[in-house]
Amino acid sequence: MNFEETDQGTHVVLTPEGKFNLVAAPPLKARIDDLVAEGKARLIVDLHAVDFIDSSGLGALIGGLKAARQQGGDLRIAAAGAQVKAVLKLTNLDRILAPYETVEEALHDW
Amino acid sequence: MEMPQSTARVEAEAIARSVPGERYDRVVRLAQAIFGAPIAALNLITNDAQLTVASVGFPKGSMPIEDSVCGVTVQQNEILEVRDLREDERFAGIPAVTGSPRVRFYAGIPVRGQSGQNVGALCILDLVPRTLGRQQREMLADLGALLERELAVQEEMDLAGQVQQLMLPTSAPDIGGVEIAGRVQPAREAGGDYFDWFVVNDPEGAGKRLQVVLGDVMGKGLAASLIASEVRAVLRGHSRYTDVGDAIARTSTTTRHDLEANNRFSTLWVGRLDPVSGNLDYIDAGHGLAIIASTRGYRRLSQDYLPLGMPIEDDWTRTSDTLAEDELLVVVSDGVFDVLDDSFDEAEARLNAILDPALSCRQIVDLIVDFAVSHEATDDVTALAVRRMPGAGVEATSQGAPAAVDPDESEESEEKG
Amino acid sequence: MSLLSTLDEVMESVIQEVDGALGCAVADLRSGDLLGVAHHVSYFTQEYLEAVAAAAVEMFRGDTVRHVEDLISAKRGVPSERLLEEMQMTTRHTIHFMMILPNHPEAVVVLITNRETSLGMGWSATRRSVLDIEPILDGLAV
Repeated sequence: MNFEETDQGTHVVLTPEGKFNLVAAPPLKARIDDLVAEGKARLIVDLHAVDFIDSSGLGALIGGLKAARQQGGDLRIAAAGAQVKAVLKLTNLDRILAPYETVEEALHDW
Repeated sequence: MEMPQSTARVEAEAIARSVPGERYDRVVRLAQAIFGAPIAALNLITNDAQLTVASVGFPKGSMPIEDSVCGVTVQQNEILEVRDLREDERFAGIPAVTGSPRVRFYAGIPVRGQSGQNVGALCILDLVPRTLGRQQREMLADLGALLERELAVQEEMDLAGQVQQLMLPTSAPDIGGVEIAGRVQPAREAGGDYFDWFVVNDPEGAGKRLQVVLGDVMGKGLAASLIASEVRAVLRGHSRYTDVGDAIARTSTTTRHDLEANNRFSTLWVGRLDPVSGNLDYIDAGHGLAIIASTRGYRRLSQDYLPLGMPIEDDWTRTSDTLAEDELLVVVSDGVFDVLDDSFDEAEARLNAILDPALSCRQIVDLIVDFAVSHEATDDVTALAVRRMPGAGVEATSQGAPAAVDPDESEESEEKG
Repeated sequence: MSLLSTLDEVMESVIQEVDGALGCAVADLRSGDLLGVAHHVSYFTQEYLEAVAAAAVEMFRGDTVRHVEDLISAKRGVPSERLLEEMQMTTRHTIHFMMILPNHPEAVVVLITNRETSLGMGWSATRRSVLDIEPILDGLAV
């Protein structure tokens, strides 16, 4: 899975594309870890181009969230599609990864 | 000649049964390319046959041991090389030399299994007499080592899968009035899905309860199965003395470190059923795929709690429901849900297939798992089905149809008569 | 079905098997006749293939080669023998795998591939084709 990265100064937006699964999750998580280590702990993951997520993808997002929060930042998700929202709802993970409709909304206080 | 070692033969059979072609085909193709050999093969030697499990230029299948050259190779620990089989009295009369493919040259290296004994050989054959130089013999030895590594990995995985399957409950729980069945089909040899059932005493003192569990550890394969084993064992331990909410809370605390260290989480659905009253207390930790269904419809048994391994502490409080005598409790893993396009409507449309009262829980569970597998599920697939048996004192059964005779009822009718 | 057309089928199966294969043929070393052939290249005309077969005959059985074989046999004090068994020829764009059939020394099989083909795979397939070619030649009983 490819992902684009845009550094906006106050925050970084990651835009993965395709299936966010067992194969795709580790590289994205590794990139999040690197960004957090560099001090860039305000992260938005724009999910509009992700058509499928499974437990590995969820694990990467949760892991990234923890890492970001430990450095005083946060990881927020935006523009999740129907399948992603359904999985978040099923696992109740929407309680900690609130799916914002747009990147702008996710940015609200940054 | 030594007698072939029998434990090695048994191991060879086990490998032959579980061999996934491509793994060994690769090494055989390398042998083909390195030696320019018209024939290359991996042969396993069992008690009475040579099994060709991967090959080029030679058909896969079995032949009697007396007709094989590899049967001799496994009795030594170095390469067996025969420049011209026609001139070796051990092999001059075997079918492959006297008839098709009329091979003349053989070089084979014995290959060991996990037991450390020779289970077969990697060999190359040619149609003209040949000799291998020192470098070529080293290359054959290298390929043999590669193949041993592949065999070892596969044997380990198969063993892990067997251990996991053997840990699942199969016999009826020691409690009357209930029928239950479960089944897991992991995507690989072992996986992160599991189910469990066992009898606990109601902590409020009022008799026995059946605790039913379905867990799903993030990911697939061996790593997920190791975590699943831990969660299962910890939950069992904590379930004896507390209510179901406390059992989950303690399990969450105990396993949190290991889950977080491995960057994993586990969804969990745990139900505790009183077969006499039908009362069902449950905790749903991010699983969401448990329903009570009947011809009147279905309802989900879900809560808002997170899976285990999350950076948030929940205050696990059970919800209570009642499983009526004509209702079925079904719990599945998300591998099944994926096949239904993650849609409850899709699931509902197919419920009728499992609501036939003539079906046993075993059959229901098989229907669900086979359905998912035949629709190319890529994840582990698990299903659990529980039903109350009408009347008290009927023997619990975990497979097949309900027991035909109810001893208590017949006693009653005798008294009345 | 004529035996010769089944040789064509064997040639076709060899090409299918080898990545980069361009053509394959069996030729009679005594006459230069093509006994079986298959190819997927438009410029491999009959004329071209017959020329290749003739070249193979010369390479394996030409006077200069025979002279070398005679000299060696003489040095060894043995009757003169044909010693040349296999030959590999690399040209700017192709590789030729050429092999005298072990039980039919009057015939040679030639596999032509592009330069990207693995040498080991090319030889493996050429040598293996013998299993299918020889029974057919046995049937021709020439």
